[in-house]
This record gives sequence, structure tokens and C-alpha cells, in this order.
Amino acid sequence: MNFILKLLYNIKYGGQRKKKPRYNAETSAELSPDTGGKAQKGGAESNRPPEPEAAVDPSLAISDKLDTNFEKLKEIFGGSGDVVFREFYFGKEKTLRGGLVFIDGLVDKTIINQSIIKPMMYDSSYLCSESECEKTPESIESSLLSVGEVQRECETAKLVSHISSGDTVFLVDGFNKAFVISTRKWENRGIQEPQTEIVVRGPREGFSESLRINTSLLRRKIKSPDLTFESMVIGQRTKTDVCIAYLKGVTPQHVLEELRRRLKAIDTDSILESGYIEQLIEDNPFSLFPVIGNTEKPDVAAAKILEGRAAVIVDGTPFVLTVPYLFIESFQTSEDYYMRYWFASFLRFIRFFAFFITVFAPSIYLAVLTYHPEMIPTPLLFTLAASEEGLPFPIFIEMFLMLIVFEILREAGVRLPRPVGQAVSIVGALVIGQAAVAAGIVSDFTVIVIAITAISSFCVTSQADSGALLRFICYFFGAALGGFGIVVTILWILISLTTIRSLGVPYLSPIAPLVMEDLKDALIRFPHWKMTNRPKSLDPEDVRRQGDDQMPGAYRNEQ
Amino acid sequence: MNNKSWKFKNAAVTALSALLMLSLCGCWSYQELNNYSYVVGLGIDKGSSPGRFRIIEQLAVPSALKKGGGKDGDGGGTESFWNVESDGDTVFATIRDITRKVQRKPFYGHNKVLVFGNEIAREGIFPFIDFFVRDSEPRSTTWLVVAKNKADEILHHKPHLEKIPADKIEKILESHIYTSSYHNIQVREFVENMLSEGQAAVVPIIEIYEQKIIPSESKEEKGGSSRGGDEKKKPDTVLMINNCAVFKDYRMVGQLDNIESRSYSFVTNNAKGGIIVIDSPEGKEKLDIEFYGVKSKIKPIIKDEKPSISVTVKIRCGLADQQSKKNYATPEKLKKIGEKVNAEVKKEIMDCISKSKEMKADIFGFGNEIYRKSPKTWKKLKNNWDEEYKKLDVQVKVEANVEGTATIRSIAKPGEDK
Repeated sequence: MNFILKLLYNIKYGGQRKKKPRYNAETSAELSPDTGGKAQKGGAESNRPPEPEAAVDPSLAISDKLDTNFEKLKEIFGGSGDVVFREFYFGKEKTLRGGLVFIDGLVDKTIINQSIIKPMMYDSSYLCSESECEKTPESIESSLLSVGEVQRECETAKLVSHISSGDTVFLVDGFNKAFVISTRKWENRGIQEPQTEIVVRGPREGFSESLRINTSLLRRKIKSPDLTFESMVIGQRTKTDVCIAYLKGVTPQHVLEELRRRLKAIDTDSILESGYIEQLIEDNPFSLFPVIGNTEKPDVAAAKILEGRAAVIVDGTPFVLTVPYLFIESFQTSEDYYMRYWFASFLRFIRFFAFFITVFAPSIYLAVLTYHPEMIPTPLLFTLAASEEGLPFPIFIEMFLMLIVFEILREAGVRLPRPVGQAVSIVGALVIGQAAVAAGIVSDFTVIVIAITAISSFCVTSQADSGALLRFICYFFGAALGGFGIVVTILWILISLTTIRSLGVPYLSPIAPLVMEDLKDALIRFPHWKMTNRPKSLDPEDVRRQGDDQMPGAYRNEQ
Repeated sequence: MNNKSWKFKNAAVTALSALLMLSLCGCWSYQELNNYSYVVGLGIDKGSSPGRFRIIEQLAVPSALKKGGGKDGDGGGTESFWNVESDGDTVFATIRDITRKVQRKPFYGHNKVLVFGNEIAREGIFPFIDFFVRDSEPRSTTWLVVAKNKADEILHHKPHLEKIPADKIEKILESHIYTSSYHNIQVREFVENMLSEGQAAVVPIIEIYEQKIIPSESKEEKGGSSRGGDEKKKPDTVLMINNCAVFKDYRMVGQLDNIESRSYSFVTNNAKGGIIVIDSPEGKEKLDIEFYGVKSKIKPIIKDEKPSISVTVKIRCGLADQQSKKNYATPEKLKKIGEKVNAEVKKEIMDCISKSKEMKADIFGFGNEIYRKSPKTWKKLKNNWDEEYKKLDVQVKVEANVEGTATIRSIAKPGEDK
């Protein structure tokens, strides 16, 4: 009950949220808009604006002595075994001394061998010695490094972060700048079918842990140059790459600004999963309901971006966040749009119904049995009464036990290794379904109700956790106050749903506030040719999605 | 800042005390299913000592009900119902007194039927009906029946097909749609009738019918197969609804027979279906006319302060069975049959009306109709309504529409008059 949490919070802090400026532009987040991403291999030369040369703290600056720089870096990395320092000579008569620093495992060794060291050693004979020619650095960059992306850095701290992200640093003795060469490449899982969002019809590819792969998956869905990826780094220690993806001219600016503001305000040392970010930028941190969506599927993310939402891609996780996230989205699946609209609309109803069942079925069963037996049809009442006959526990305890057992089973089934998980579910089903009834601990009707509740909870996966909690809250209220308690809980749920927002967009829209046109994709799904506009509740900059008269038919061919 | 923190503290205290208040009233009327016993039928008879009466509660035994219906029976040992009786002066006290015999509190929310013994019905059931309207547990949709003799023997009669007598009674009452020869009435309708001035109510009478060894030709027979086993020698008995009681001012004042009850249903729009037997147009043989839609309209006419009633009954029916060899499947002949039906039904209704006039019981609610049409006239009539009702002029018009001859176009015997 977020209500109590809120109270406790307010009691502790006297209602005053401590507002201290925690955002430090230097360390926590760097924002740099670029289309295409900064480490795209084989791409065009980076169009990154030149770094300001002045205003560098001399103690942080790179010295022109290679040995000094190496020592500094070695000291910073503390002699980690995976950091490689490679020295070599190059140039005319091998008079120039250079050094490479990179982390083994994060870099593409082929690039280092073939495109950095090899040209340096074999083709650098025309380079003059350091004393003779001032143009050496320029010619190194322009004629020797056959790599797509090269930057110059003059700060040790930045070098360190580049090295940690898999770039290779090339230092030249006698030159007080370093070349940062993009050589990022590491082993990743590859593109696989996502485990959480399974579809019958639709693309099977899923996001993976690598940010670049994820952005490329999105780029492959939306080829418009308006698709923009804004990179930033969050987390002082993890230095996690985070990327906002949106469609220029569609995604509303105010949503983007708010999103940027919230992301920039994050001041933490680690972002290991997008869940960290989700919880740090939520509108209503006390609410039970998720106000930030996540998906593992590029087609889903692309669809949401195309509707005028923004996506937040976090390096190291296949779960991409989408904002704003509305309650109604929990009941939409990607398949709704791939199958024909009749059945898709029917499935929407099924999902609403299933959500209702999974939240309220146990409490309604309990309340009707213990407070309102007159509501049950007589023959059913006698069957129920007969099955309760001789059971040791009150229905409340019986049902509660089963609810807990179900949660345990579910948790165990998720955590256990696949083969064992199956065994657990078989044992669980047998023990719970059969033995408990046979032993006379629970009635068979209770088992039926729990089974329906459990199965229904898998229909609306994105509200599964809020559903489970609501189920228990509602259960206690139903047990204490009967049908009245359930009505009170429903009211409370509705009130809290209308209160919360997702990046400023009311969570219950388009139902409350009512946006008539958006109802085309709410309770039922209208055919694609009817959905001319993007959801207006998201306030997209370009509302139009398609032309009029998209309905197929003979008349269209005549024109 | 100070003000704000005070506000939050205040809110916190309010909210916490509100939560605590929940726990105070929580679990009010929480009852486990097996803390209740479920009353399915209730009978009221005269008691042993004068002035007192006896209540018979029929309780369902869920475990026996389930076992009997179940797979591998070890059921049958226990009875599916249990009748408990208690004597007393008032209903509620007597009902509560029963908990001295029944360990689980009786629950009246599923009571299906209220059976009044004949004697009690004739003396007046007003003292007993109040509880069933006032209390929150019993439903106003409980059926009302009068036993031909005692309620006791009705509730003790073990039925065929069903397991509980009360269930059987309810099911017979519900199957009135096949004959319309009795009117089923719920507590609410009964009390409404009693409350509107001058009106009487019609309540079905239930009796135990003794079957002969030969399968009976009784039309109203509702029981199933004959009983086997040890009771072979005893004649088989079945519960049956036969005739209806007329209640005036909570007192049974007379009876309507089955045909009269059907006419009552015609006029009061309660006939859902049934068979009218008429003579064939030629005279000798019988025809069965099944009706399946009856609409009636009672129209009060007030002329020079003198009321009269015009009743129009529209019947949709069809030829369902014939003993005659004639073929009636032509529009003209069906029309003729329709005229026959009109005459027959009109006669029956007039009989019923005159019977009710004899009893001075305005079962149709004509008085009510007059009141609705002209309250002034009713004011004059109401004090002497019993006599006025006797004098009331009632015009009956029946419009039967014989719509077809079921699934055959010609008669069963070929070669006759086409």
C-alpha cells in the first residue's frame, strides 16, 4: 500500500523532499546528440564537434612523454591484467615511439593488428622524426590510421573512460594528445528470440545486451533519418551508455525535455539494468503500477516510437524502456496489430477479463462464500458447502495458503534451472492439485479458483506484479469487509489509477481523461485503415500517421 | 515548513486511525459455509396445544446431496434433507428456538417454499407472513403453497427424481408453464395483493396423490417412475398440485378448480402455455388446442358512476392433437376452431368470475383497475366492495388465433376428406 509508504516517508522527512543539486555535468552525464551513434563501425567520419582545447587542468593533461603517460595510466588501472600496454617504434628509420593502451576482450584485435600497428610499422616510413616535422600527428590520423572513428583527447580521465569502454588509445612520444581509436568489439549473445514476449505471428528477433546492436535493430525497423539516438553516460562507476531514441518531428519536445532532465538528474554510481533507470525517473514512485514500459522486441519499441513515444536503451540489458507508458498499453500486444482486428479486439476483452479475474477472483470467492451466501445459486451453494464439509481451516486461511503456495511455485519455476523447473511444476501441480484436496486440507473449489487466478495472471504480463499485490490487498479487504471491502478496493484502485501519470501523461488516458479518437486502440482495436492518427493523448508533434481513405476496396483501384 | 509537517502528521494520524477503524468493524457477519445450515423449505401447521403453531424447517444436507449424485456411492445412507420442528407463539422466536436442536444456525436466504397447513390457512396467515417480509434473510421470492391437509406431511414426502421435497415443490411450481392450470405466487406478490384494497390472492394447493397400481390417467401427474423395492405393496404416492386456494384478507375463503385456475391465469396474464380441450366443430370428437401466447387486457369502464369491466384475452394457439378424422389444415377451418376456442375459454372465464363473485373475492384485481381509472368512483365503492363486486358487470372477449397444425398438414389417417 503505497499510501502507508508515502505516510512513513512524509513522517520521516516532514513532507520536505530534500532538494539539493546533485547533478554534476562533468561526471554523471554527458549529453551529445548524434545521429547514428558514435561507434558505428564502417560508418562515415564522426561529425562530433571539436573538443575545446583550452581549460584543461594541467595535472589531468596528457604529457608529451610517453613513459609518463604510461605510468599514469598504469597507476590508474592498478596493474589489471587485462589492460594491455604495447610500445613500438615507427616512422622513418623507426625513430618515433608510440604506444597503444586497450583492454583485452573489449577490443577488436583485427583492427588493432591490421589497421593500427601494421600501417604504423610498414607504411610510416615517410613520417619525419619528431623534431623535424610538426605535422606528424595530423599525418598519422589522416594517412595511417585506417579506422573509421578517431578522436583526439588531451585529458587522462577521458582516456581512462574510453579505454574502459573498449576504445584503443594511441599515444605518441613527444605529442601531448592521444588518439582515441574506436575498436569496440566484444562477445555478445547475438540476436535471439526474446523469452518474455512470445508471439505466434511477428518478428522473432529480440534486443540483446549490446547497445549498438539494439540501436541497429531499431534503425533497421525505422530507416527515416528522423530517428535520433541521443547518447549519454550514466553512473560514475559503471559509466553505462544510455541512449534516448525518438523520432524527430513526432515525439513531443516537452516529453523529450522532461526525459532528458530526469535522466540528467540521476546521480548514482551504477546502472546495471534499465530497471535502475526506470525506478529513478518514475513519476509516482509510491504507486503499485508501472508507469514506464519495457520491451524486449525491436518491433514493439519501433511501434511505440512511431506512435510518438521515446525509448531509452541501456547498454547491458535487452530491456528497452518506453515512455510515456499508459495503463492501456498493458493490454496491447504486438500481435494485436499483426492479426486481423476482429480477433485482436476479442483478445483485448479476454485480457481485460483475465486481469479482473486475477485480481479479484480469490477475494470475490471468499467474500461471497463467507458474507453473501445468498448470492450463490442454491445447487452450487450445496456443492460448495459439501466440499467445505470437514475441512480443518476457515476458507480465509485455506485460500491464503493456496495463494502463497502459488506465488512460491511461480517464483521457484522462474528461478530454477529449466529442467528442474519442470520437475517443480509437476510436483507442485500434483501436490497442490491432488494431494491437498485428497488429504482434506483445501476444498477442490478453492483449487479451481486459484488455478483460474494463476492462469489469468499470465495473460497480462506487464501488470503481473501489480496484479499479484493487488490480489492480496483485495483479498484482505474482502476477508475483512466482504463485498463492501472489494468495492472499496476497486474504488481505491481506480482513484490511484486516475492520480498517476507517466511523464506527465495521465496514466488512464485515453479513458480518463477521455480522448475519443484514441479509443480506436483501447478497448477494441480498430482496423489499421481506420487508425489515421497517432494517439492524441501522447500529444505527438505530427498527429497524422497515414492518409485518408485507406480502407481497401474496389473503388480505390479505380482512381 | 513547520506548517507543512504539521499537516502531514495530521494526515498520517487521520489515515492511520481510519485504517484502525476498519479493523473494528471488520469481519462483521463473517460466517463459514459450514457454520450455517440451509433451510430450503418451511412449513407452518397448527400446534398441539391451542393457540400455538408448529414450524417445520426443511434443512438441506449438502454432504449427502453431493455423495448421492457422485460417482462411487457409499451415499444413500444419509438422507439429503432433515426436517426439524418447533412449537411456538411467534415466528421469529420459534425459528430461533430451533437452534436448540440444530447446531448450525439456519440460513433462510435459500428458502424456496413456504407451506401453510390447511387449518392455519383457513384461520388466517397474517401472523406468520410478516417475518418473511420484514427480515433480511428470507427472500420475497419464496414460493407460497397451501397443503391440502398438513404442511408436515408434504415436507416429509420423499420425492422422486429430486432429493429434497422443497426442490420438488419448486420444480412443479415452475412447470406451470406447461399447463397454466395453477397460479404460482411468491411472498411478495401475495403481500402486494393483500395490501391493495379489496383484492384477493390465489395460492396453489399441494396434496399427496395416491397412485393406483395401474399407471394413472391423471392429467396433472408429475411424479416419475413407480417406486420399487420394499415399498412395493404400499401404493405409490406423489406430490401434486391440485386446485388453488383463494385468500382474502390473509384468510383462505375458498377454492378454484384447475380449469378455473387456468382462467384466472388467462385474465391475469400469467398463462404461459397449456392445452385447451374443445369439441370439434362437428360436435362429437375432441381437439387439443395448445396455447403458447396469451395476452389479456383488463379495461375498466365507468359510465354514470357505474363501473363495469371489459376483459380482452388474446390467445395464440395451434391445433396440437385431434381425435377427429377431419382435416382442419385450412384457414377457414382453423378459424372455425378458433371460434370454438373463443366460446370455450369465454365460458370458462365467466365460470371463474362467477365463482369468485360467490366467494366475494376480487381475485383479478378489478377493484384496483377501477381505482386506477377513477379514484373517485373507487372511494364510493370500496366500503361496500364485496357486494359491489358481486354486482359488477364483466364483459369478456376472447380472441383466439389458431395459427397452425404443428408439423403435419393432413391428418394421421390418409384418404379422408381433403
